Amino acid sequence: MQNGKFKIHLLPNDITFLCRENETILDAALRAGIELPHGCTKGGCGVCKIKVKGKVEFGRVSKIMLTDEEKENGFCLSCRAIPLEDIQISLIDGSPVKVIRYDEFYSFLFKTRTNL
Amino acid sequence: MPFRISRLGYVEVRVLDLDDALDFYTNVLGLQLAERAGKKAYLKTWDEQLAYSVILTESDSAGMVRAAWRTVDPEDVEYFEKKLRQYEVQYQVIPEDYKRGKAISFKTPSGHNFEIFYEIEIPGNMLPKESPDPWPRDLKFDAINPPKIDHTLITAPDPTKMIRFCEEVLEFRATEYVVNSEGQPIAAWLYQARQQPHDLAIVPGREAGMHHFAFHISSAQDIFRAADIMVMNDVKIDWGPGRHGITRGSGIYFFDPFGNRIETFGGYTAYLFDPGAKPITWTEETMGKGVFYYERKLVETFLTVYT
Repeated sequence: MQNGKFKIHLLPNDITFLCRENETILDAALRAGIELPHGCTKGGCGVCKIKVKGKVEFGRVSKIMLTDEEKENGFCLSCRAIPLEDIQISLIDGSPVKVIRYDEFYSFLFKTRTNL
Repeated sequence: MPFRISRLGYVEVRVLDLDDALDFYTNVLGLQLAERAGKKAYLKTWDEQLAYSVILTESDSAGMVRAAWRTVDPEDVEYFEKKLRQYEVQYQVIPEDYKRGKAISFKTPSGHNFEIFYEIEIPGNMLPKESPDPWPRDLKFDAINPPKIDHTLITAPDPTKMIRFCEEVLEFRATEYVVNSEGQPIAAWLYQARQQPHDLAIVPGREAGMHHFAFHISSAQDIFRAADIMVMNDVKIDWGPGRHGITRGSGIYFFDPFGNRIETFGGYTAYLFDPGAKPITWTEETMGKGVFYYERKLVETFLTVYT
């Protein structure tokens, strides 16, 4: 935890970014210019499923797209999951995530991104 | 051959929370609530005559429960019963449902539940039958308020087989196809008596998947107004306002609060029905422009994101 914000560590990129209180993993990532894959952003399509280590609130999601078993085995839908502690995430296939303009100067460009 | 199906009668869609769903479907989309009964709610657009066109059902996942097709004449239901028997398709007779009479219910080769019915209560639209004005005064002024349900696009693991089934058994006719290198249709836009570009469309994808269902919105002004309302309400827009090459329609793809994709669709230029005219074909190479005309390529979510 840093200034009341949880840290999200992204592998294998090895990037850490901060998540605000009650902010979803996806929102925090996009705000930081980290292009986590996503679709409907409402927990219905399952496209944003990722691996997660650490406690999260899973949010309202389709049970077909995220089963109870998957919840227990370290998966979540990033569009709905809210970190409850510092966490570690990675894509299911372990590939690196596309990062655009990951620096302080450009990050303000993404703060107004609200079509989620 | 006469048309025996008039239009898409209703779709039943799963939602994760019925209260939130009703807030979105009535206050943002602007559908009229016919009745809420337990874990289901029945809704219609302001200009539809039939009792309802959308059923929302609370569930633990999103997606489509069933799509129902209304016949032109009462005896057409028996006609399709015979047809299903002839093609050895298992079906059930459902004697009645909410404000609806007999329906036949069956699973398509794509795994979707389809119904065919005629009898349904017809309370009329929100206008008087005698000397009506063109639109009702008491619609919510800041809701989208589409006048009617338009079509649904569903996904099929073997789209060629599903397209053939819809054409041969259900007597849909094609306006447009996407064909693969062997000349087989892998996507189709199919219509019935309404004679609009499509009542049903099929693309490759998961069994029983719902890509979207659509409401008709025709003028450019109304399309942009709808987009404004989506942004005003933080609705996630998937694509658009834009133009489809296929159907020439203008649309917006957006998501309900549970990830079901909805489209406002219309604005196509005089899609003229001429019996005997050949369907249009697109290739896998030109499909991108066919689906998203201005972008000229499929946006990533088109073939991967659906419920």
